[in-house]
Amino acid sequence: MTDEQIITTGEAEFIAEIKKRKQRRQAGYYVAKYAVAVILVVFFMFPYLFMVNKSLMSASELLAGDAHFFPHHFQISNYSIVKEFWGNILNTLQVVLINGFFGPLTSCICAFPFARHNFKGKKFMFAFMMSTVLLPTAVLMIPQYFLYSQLNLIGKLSSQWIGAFWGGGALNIFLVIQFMRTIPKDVDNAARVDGANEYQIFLFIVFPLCFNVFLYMAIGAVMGLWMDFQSPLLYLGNAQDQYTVGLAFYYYYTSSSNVSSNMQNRLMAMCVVMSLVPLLLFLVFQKQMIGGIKIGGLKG
Amino acid sequence: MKSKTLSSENAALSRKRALRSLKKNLVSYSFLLPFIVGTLIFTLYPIVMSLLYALSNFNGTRITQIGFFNFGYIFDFSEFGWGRRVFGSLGVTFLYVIGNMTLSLVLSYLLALFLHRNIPAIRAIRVLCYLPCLIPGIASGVIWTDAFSTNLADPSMNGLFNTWLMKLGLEPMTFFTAASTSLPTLIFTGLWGIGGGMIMWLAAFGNISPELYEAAKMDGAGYFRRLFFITVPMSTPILFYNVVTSMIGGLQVFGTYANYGVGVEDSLHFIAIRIYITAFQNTFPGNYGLACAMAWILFVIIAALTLVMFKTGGWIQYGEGDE
Repeated sequence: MTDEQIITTGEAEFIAEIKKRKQRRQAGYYVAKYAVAVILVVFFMFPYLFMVNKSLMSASELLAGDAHFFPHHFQISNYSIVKEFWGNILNTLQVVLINGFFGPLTSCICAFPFARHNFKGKKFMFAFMMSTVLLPTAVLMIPQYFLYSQLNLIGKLSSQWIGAFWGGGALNIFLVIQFMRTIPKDVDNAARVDGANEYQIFLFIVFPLCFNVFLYMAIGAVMGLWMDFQSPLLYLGNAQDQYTVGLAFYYYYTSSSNVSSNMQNRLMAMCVVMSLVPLLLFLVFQKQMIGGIKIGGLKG
Repeated sequence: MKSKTLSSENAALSRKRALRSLKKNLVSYSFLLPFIVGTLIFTLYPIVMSLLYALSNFNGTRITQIGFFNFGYIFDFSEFGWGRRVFGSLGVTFLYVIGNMTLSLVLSYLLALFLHRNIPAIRAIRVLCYLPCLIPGIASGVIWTDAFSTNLADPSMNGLFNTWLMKLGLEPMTFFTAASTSLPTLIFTGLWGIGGGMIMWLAAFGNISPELYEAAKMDGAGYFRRLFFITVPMSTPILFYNVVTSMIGGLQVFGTYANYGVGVEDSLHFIAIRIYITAFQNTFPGNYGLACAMAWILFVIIAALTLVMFKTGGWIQYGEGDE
């Protein structure tokens, strides 16, 4: 099968010339492509570089005005601002861990019958579930506030995770349904023949296979709530010891004594710290994150 | 062979079957229990209460009046009526949604087209373009208020962008300090967030079967013909999904309140912020009924726009689907 073709010297030279031209043209393309890529990377890295640089500038440098990109006098001590937020960081960790575990777990539980069973009212339940996506949070905001106050949750950290146990939102359930459909049904049918009930099939067969999408939703929940300030703003009231980082930082940022430009370096230092969590999570779980974006976006 | 009659056997069998299907249904619903309970308590009950508040003068403890007067206030366009404020907020919100959505969808698509090629280190380049999406909203708000800060009185205290503009010999711009430029500036900062859309488009491109491109190449179609007759039509379902979700999300934008407040002369006073302030900030007790009425108007707008989009969805190419 591997017949080598006999090539005369003339033909060989001609082919070599064509190849060389092709290479030269390709090299040109490469340079152009990478030039554009470098511009893009510089553009997209700007907020990070700006933030990190500013967080290292000294206060006198900022007071002098004349904004510049690179710090002239390095001042690492700006990062001591993190100490002021330590209690808030612990509060936030509690909120994101509860939401990041139970939200995805209940999403998987609620998705299971939609993906695997035929039950009466399935179509209605599905349509009903998806219609809740349309409902703006603004419609629920005020009555939920009074509901929480009746349940005595206002000013308590529990108001931030009480909503984690109820399915994790229609879009997450939908995502898991789409994911579960890609798992072959033979697996659970085999278990059913062996006498497993539906709860066992979910717990021991389908749920472990959903690990990637579980991780995606968990990371999404952690990232989304890590710096959330809308719901803490509504429900945490004046209980300062319950504040999450997002809310504490918001009050710190808007209080008049801190807006002056010589505080910007410390604010930026806090921003750097706050950005680290999502950044690290993404870099560690890149594969799951991009995989999740694919399922979420493509099957819609 | 059997002593029982056929009919009674059938009846027993069908009863058994009905019982089994009932049990099966109950098992299915038991999985849905968290969703059902949560929705009843945290969604359906609040919806009913929200309607009640919208049609009353609820002040946090009691209701003394019921009627459509809250909606009357919203459509009162006299000088001190709520009409101008509410519809001003809705207008600003629409402008934001349209500007933000077009810019981010078009540019993220172009970015994805550029990054959809096999050159060395392409993965790293994609990740670097995506990273700004990971900066928390409130932190990026701090970055942009600082970088775009303006000080017309003392030019040396201008932010970085204005300093650069002045170094280039240009006039410093007003950015967030003037009503006419604050919304465009806010939309411009959205540029750094197009990486999320880019990743999704790349995933979409990866799902288009290579056979289509090979067939087109065989027929002699160039890059642009392949782009406009294969890539673009095949991305329409995802485009549609994203238009719908980003519209629903955009109409509810609230996060900007942390950094930009309501903007100069209400230029960033989005409707969700208006609802929050009406209920919880302006007065005590807040004007809960009026705020709920505004929220319902927002809901009607969102539902109507979504319906219109689904009705006019004829341009979506659902070809090649396996479902």
